[in-house]
Amino acid sequence: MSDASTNLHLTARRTFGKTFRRFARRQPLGAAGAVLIVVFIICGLFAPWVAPYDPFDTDFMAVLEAPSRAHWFGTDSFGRDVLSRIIHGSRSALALGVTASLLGAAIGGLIGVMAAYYGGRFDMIVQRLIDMILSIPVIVLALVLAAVLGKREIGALDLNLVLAIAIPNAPRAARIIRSAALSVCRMPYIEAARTAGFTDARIILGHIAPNLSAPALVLVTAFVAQAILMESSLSFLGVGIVEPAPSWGLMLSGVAVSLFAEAPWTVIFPGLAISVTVFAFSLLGDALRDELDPKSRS
Amino acid sequence: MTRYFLSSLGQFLITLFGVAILIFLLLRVAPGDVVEVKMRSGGAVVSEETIARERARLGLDRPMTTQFVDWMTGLARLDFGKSMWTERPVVEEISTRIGITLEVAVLALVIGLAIAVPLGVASALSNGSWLDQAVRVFSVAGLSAPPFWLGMLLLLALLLYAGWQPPITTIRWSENPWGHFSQLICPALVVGWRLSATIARMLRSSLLDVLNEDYVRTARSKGLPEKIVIVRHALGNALLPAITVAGLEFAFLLGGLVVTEQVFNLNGVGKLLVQAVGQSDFTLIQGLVLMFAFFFMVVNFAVDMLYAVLDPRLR
Repeated sequence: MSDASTNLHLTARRTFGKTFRRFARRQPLGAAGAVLIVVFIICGLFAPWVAPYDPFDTDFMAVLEAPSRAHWFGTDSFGRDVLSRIIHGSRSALALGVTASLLGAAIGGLIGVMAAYYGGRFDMIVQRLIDMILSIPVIVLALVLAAVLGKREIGALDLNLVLAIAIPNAPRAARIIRSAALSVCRMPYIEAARTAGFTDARIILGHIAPNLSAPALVLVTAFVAQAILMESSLSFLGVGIVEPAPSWGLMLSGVAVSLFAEAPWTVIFPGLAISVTVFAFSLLGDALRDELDPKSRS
Repeated sequence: MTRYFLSSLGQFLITLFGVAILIFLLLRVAPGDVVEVKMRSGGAVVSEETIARERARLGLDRPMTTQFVDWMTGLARLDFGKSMWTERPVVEEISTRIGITLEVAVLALVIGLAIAVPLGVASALSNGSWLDQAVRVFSVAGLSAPPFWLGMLLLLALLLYAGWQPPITTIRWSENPWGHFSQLICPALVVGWRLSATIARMLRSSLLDVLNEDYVRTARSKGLPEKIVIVRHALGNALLPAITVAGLEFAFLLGGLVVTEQVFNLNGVGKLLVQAVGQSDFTLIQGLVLMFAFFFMVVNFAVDMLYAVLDPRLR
């Protein structure tokens, strides 16, 4: 009995290892992205232990110090350790990025599936609504939403900021999921489920949605990259995360040209953190699309 | 064709009207308005009476429907109303700033295409090789780095290595053409890289598709040199989807320069939007968003029409 369960456990583990190794061979860049993401997540989760200093600790004796052995990435204009702020900033970036993209994909995906399933007038109205939202540049809509909604914090997460990032992305998800769902809706087993008298909700959630997990996974991964970028842009513009919370975008805002010539490390490292994280998610998203979407495979 | 044109035009107008309703409602459901920002921002103590009087003067106390109908009838006469902050006409506020944004956008598009076409072709032809991977890394990196950070790095590099800092005030083309151009080139480079990434990837995949077509095989089997097959037979057809993407990205750029203009301190419509949002200047925000949407839809519409002309199956 215990033998069998250990065996099962080992097989499962080996399968994951094998799958990942196969993925890494076919998509080396995507695998590199996945590894980076894991490193960032670990850094974020264990931030208080990984970071050498408290990110809020000001030290006016050590203002704008250049990178040294005590402060690897230097200190900012309040004497706070830049590396520690970056490590703690990865928490808000990842938490916001992941929740916003999951929420956007969930809202958009559900609307997309419903549009494909019901078709007709409902589909037409949804399409027009999507057209409307898509005609406003993402950053413009996010900026207006963030300013209009204000702040509503639940724990450390600003729910309204999540909404401001999720809503502009939702119609994109709806469009992609709708086109993927159209072919699923035409499958004979959907017809069969309908004949069997299943409710629409059960057919949509139980029979159609599981078949859309591949495009949804690709979508969410790509959205996380966009969402992190969006959060940093909004924080940079002053409508996102506010001081003294450590946020990558915020660390770059309000820095005058003269200051960053004097202390370039306060600019270089936070931006690098954003770029590398977004880069990792984009690479993984790309690789997943190549692997999972037969159309784009070349 | 005429029927297709008319139905597309109808959809165009409905969508535009929808955007107008959407943005109007979005701004009105939120608490706070321009009067609050103007009078209370400094922590000043102002009586409710004064605030109410100012609201009434700006028409903010009227019912929402009246305000909306008013705005709409104005729009029908191409009157976008007055900015609630400066009280100058919205059209005037936008028209004095749209030029610089358009110039940066056009220059970015030129730079983007100049980078994207060779890269896209090279990566399609070397599909799967290290060159293809390198182009992919370059493109994804362009999409990953926040434009405002790239802008800062560019300014920093210019300052440290060339001792040059872009002028802080706006230089007119008529005063000093070179100074004017130097203001545009940095933001255009930053945005151009971003654009090139999207265009190059589209071009790569469409060129790969085209290279599998029968007529390309025919051209090759005729014994035509590979160069001619690619440049004359394949590239022409592969460029169309890439140009469509470039057009749509360009259409988005007008509003998409919001952050970039902030970094380079360019007085364009993006910076105007950030200002208007900060001041809760409803009429100005409405006008700007409507203009961005209109511009995007016009380009979209033009692309649709172009496709319909080129491909009768779509009509």
